Amino acid sequence: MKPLIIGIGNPHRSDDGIGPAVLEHLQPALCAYADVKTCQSDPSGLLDEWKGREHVIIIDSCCHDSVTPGTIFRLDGLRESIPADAVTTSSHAFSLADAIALGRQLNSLPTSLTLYAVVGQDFHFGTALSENVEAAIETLCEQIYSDLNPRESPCTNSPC
Amino acid sequence: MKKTKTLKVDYLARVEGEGALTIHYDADEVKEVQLRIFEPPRFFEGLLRGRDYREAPDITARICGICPVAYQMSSVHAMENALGVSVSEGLKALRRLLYCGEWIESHALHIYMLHAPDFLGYNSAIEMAKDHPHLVQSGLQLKKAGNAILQLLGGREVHPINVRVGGFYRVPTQRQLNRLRDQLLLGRDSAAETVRWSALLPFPEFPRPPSHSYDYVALSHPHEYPMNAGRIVSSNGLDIAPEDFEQYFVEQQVPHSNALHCLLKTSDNEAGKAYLVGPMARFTLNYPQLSADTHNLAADIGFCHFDGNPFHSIVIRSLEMFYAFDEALRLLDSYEPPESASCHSEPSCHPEPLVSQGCAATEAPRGLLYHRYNLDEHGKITEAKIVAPTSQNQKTIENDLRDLLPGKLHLPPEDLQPLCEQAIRNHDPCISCAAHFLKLTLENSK
Repeated sequence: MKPLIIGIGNPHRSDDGIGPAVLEHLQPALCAYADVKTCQSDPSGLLDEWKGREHVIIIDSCCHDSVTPGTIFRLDGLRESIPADAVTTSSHAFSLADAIALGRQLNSLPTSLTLYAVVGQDFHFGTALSENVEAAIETLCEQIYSDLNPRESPCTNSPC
Repeated sequence: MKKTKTLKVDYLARVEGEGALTIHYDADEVKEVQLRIFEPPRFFEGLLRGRDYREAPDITARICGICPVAYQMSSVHAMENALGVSVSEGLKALRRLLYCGEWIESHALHIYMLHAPDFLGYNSAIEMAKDHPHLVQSGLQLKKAGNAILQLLGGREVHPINVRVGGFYRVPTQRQLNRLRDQLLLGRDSAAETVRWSALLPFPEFPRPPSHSYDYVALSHPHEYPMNAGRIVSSNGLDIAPEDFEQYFVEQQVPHSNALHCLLKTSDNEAGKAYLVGPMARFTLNYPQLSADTHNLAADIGFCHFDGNPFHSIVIRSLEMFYAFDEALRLLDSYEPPESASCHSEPSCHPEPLVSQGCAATEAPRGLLYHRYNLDEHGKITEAKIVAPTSQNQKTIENDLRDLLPGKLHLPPEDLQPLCEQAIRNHDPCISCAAHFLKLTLENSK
């Protein structure tokens, strides 16, 4: 099964849309190597998406008071825990951390789960990313190419 | 002198929103119970003022991530009531199907992820999944089926955007609806298993004095189990149109809660009376309107009548979830695509605004949800009133704890606390929905 890249976030809430924005950049080049999926609402649905996959990469935005916007964090979703203050505490909506914890109990986690979190600056209504977050897209895409290590060079001009 | 103890739960888990519980008691009696809702007020009624009537369904859907359809339905029906709009039977059927989706996803979430851990002795669904993975998987699959209905009819799983005053923006094709069928058939089987499983859970006893029986309030409709339409009825003989809600019900502020308490007015003009909305009230007042298969299932488990023990609410939610699948399949099978997605043809798809008032009540998963809007001649909202189910049940939740605890007051707090939390979750309170308004009085001492 192909690797799966999941972009979490709402493209209409400025920097929250970094996940879907990265997918947009990756999709033309990686369509032969990976499936892509956006997730805007309920991460409990991810359990079905990543079950049976060898490699899943998740891209999301995050908040951090003391780090420059656009900074990219990379975590091993199977071995490192998501910081508690990055988790939405709502009992009615599952957080990503809940989905991973539940996936662990239900044996439905992928073999490898890489999380990328990009520190956002502006989460107001709007479709534009802030300058620093926009600038992170290229670095993040290169990192993801490297993670996936496709056997052939990405086809940058070919439509899917 | 008897020693008074205080049981404090500073943060209620597995309910939506931010609430706490304080109980003062001694060895003999419960002195005081306060369900404290400290979630900040959200001022939805205030921010609706000045907005166009067409915006209300999408704005109010944002009140809750788990029951947005209820808010959308109550607001859209209230606006249609104000503007004299009626939609075709085909569109009504689609709205009912959308509501079935919400009942399924909301009930599945509550039954399996929020309430089941109480009965089986776990702190969370994640902890429960270790020993009972099949239960959590069932819950997730059932919720997914409900989400699929919302995705198709509402445009997305959470905060749907496809409903508008006069109909929908777009209606699904027969082919799209047919694709749902297999998922709903599987879900219906799984929901039947849920009913049988829930009936065998270990239920705490609830020694309720006869004089403390619930006063049930729900919609009632002659031809259907209530979701989108009907009169407001009660077990004590109330039978009114939704337009008359405010004549019979009153909201009161209490110091310990950011959510108003809604009470049934009493004839002697004394403090209002607590009542109960939600699955237990719907089931009690509308049992004959459930489908034949739901009746058969209820008979199989010996649950054709609710005995007043609120810990049995999980069984009623399970039966309602089964019914929602059954009803969704019936609606799919009898669906005929409407000629138009709206009662008003494009491009003049909007009803003419007029100075008016419109009211509506629908049955959210947690119970009766009342909306009223006043509009000006340009269709701007001049006043909005929203009474959420949890506002209506707050007083009853406190009363439940007063009835439940005598006889158990000798138990240590570590045993009392989970029992109290389980009793609160019997009503699946949605605190975020309820904390939408705060009466603010500024006193100028000059």
